[in-house]
Amino acid sequence: MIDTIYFEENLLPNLRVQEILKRFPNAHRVACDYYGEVFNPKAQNFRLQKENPALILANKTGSLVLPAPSEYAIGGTRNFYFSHMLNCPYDCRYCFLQGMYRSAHYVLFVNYEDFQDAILKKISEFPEEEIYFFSGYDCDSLAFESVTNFLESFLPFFESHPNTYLELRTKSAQVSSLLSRKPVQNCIAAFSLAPEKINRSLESKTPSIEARLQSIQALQMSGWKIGLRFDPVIYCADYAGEYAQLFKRAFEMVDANRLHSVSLGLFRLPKPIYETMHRLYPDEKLFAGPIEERSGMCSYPKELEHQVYEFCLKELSRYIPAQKTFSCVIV
Amino acid sequence: MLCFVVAFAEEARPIIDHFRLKLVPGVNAFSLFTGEEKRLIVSGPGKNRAAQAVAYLAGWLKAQKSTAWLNVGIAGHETLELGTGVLASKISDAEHKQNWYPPLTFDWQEMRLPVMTVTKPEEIYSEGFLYEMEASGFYEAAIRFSTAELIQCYKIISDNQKSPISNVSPESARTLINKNLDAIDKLSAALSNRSGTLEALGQPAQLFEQLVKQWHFTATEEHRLNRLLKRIETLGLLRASDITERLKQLNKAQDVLTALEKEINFTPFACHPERSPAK
Ligand code: SF4
Repeated sequence: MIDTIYFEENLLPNLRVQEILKRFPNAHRVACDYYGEVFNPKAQNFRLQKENPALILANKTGSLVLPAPSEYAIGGTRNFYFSHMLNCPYDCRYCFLQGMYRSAHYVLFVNYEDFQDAILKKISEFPEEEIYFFSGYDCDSLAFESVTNFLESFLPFFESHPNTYLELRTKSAQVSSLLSRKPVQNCIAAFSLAPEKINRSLESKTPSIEARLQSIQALQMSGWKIGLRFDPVIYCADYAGEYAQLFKRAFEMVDANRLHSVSLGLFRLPKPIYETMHRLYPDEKLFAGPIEERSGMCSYPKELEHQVYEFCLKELSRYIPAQKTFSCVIV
Repeated sequence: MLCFVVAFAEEARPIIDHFRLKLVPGVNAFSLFTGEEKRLIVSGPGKNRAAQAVAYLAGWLKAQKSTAWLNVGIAGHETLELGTGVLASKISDAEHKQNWYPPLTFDWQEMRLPVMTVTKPEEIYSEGFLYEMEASGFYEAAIRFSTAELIQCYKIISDNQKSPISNVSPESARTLINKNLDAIDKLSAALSNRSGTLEALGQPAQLFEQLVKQWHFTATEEHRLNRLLKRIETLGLLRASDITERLKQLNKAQDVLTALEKEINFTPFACHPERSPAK
């Protein structure tokens, strides 16, 4: 699975690094001074690299916790994200990371404790407020859990700060590391869902929707807070039938009354990111279809966007009260 | 397209023979060989000559981002047996303290190690590194023309602590390369394959040449035209004959672009039935 591991040379004594290196005894190890030497050079092709990404073990410096985009909000007034990882083992064709980073290598920042210190600082800045922290902005929160042990470190941390929320955003169906613990009340396991047809076409290497729904159901039954993310909604032939079916199936499996939140957003990307992705995949139908630019964002033509969004919103309202549904539309 | 860069004629000979490359007559600066989708340049020793050879060959063949580059040569290592082939996992320039990390996008089970480019033959081998004289010049020049995944360095151990560099002769270098032709062949196939993928993606749309002859497009409009035609091709919306039929009444290039845009608007994303089901 991983045949090359780059590591920042001064991290070699780090226990987390040692454990990960041990997990991949046959991986080729290459020392570097700083992860950016491997990850950031200009002349790289994300599409080619995605065929065989390497793992980079690094130390994150600079800003470790950043304000989350407004469309991420799921009820909180203060929203931040932190990225212990860049990139992801799945390969969703609509994923903005393809246009954001030059390299498809997975970067894992192993200095979890520094992230936690930075989170504590934010908590102390807003002591009276409920703060949401999102961990799945630059990666899938759980897809690499067997390597990162992210939960083992961050769940107890958030548990001891009950005035905050941690959102794990994922397409993974591997939830045993959550099921094996007592539910953490301020953690939301948020799952992205799409119609099976879209999943098979655009979400390469991800678990099937049915597998995700089974995991969601198991987690909810054992007391975990669940979020559903219908984002990005893709305009496809018979989108109405496809999404109506998806919502129906999802709410058969999930107890809507115990859901934390649902969010809904149409396919949209910042223009430079969309253009990079289209250049990488000129043969991809998703990018070749009707897309227009509005205020620096590329999305479906307004009328079409409105039509699809309104349909989904109305359809969702059959299952879940409006106050639990959050919109990720371009404002 | 795959370009080999090799320091010496004797090292190049087995590759030239294996791929049936022919000398290009009338080129004075370097010896240049060509064959089916392959080129080879004999650079001469040292990183500066390697960089010049890359630049020369890139200019000569009008290299694209999709052109692949492979540097083949000999190197020293403290303990590795003579004749061992090694793919560079990292290239360091000893003089300028600069590093590069060629990304590996294909399966390669053979040995990979860091390579140190030095300006003079090295006899004290520090552990872990291969020592040679061209890789950093080659790599730094090649990434100006191509993408890093298409650029690799393959070195064959010619000297070690037991057998010093003074023992290496043109004949022994030739024999060492000869023994590693299978690996060179495998590398060449993997790089050519990826180069072909990128090349195909960069091809102009089918109808592009025909339409630019029929209407006068500015450079920006030509770019837009090509993109629109490629989108129509990707979406499988119309056959070439239908497009030309629909456009033939139009007078201006701008009208052509508007008409093509209209074809795309409101086309729903059609799922790819051919992709394999998710796990
Ligand atoms: S799961 Fe998320 S992060 Fe991973 S490829 Fe898909 S969209 Fe990107």
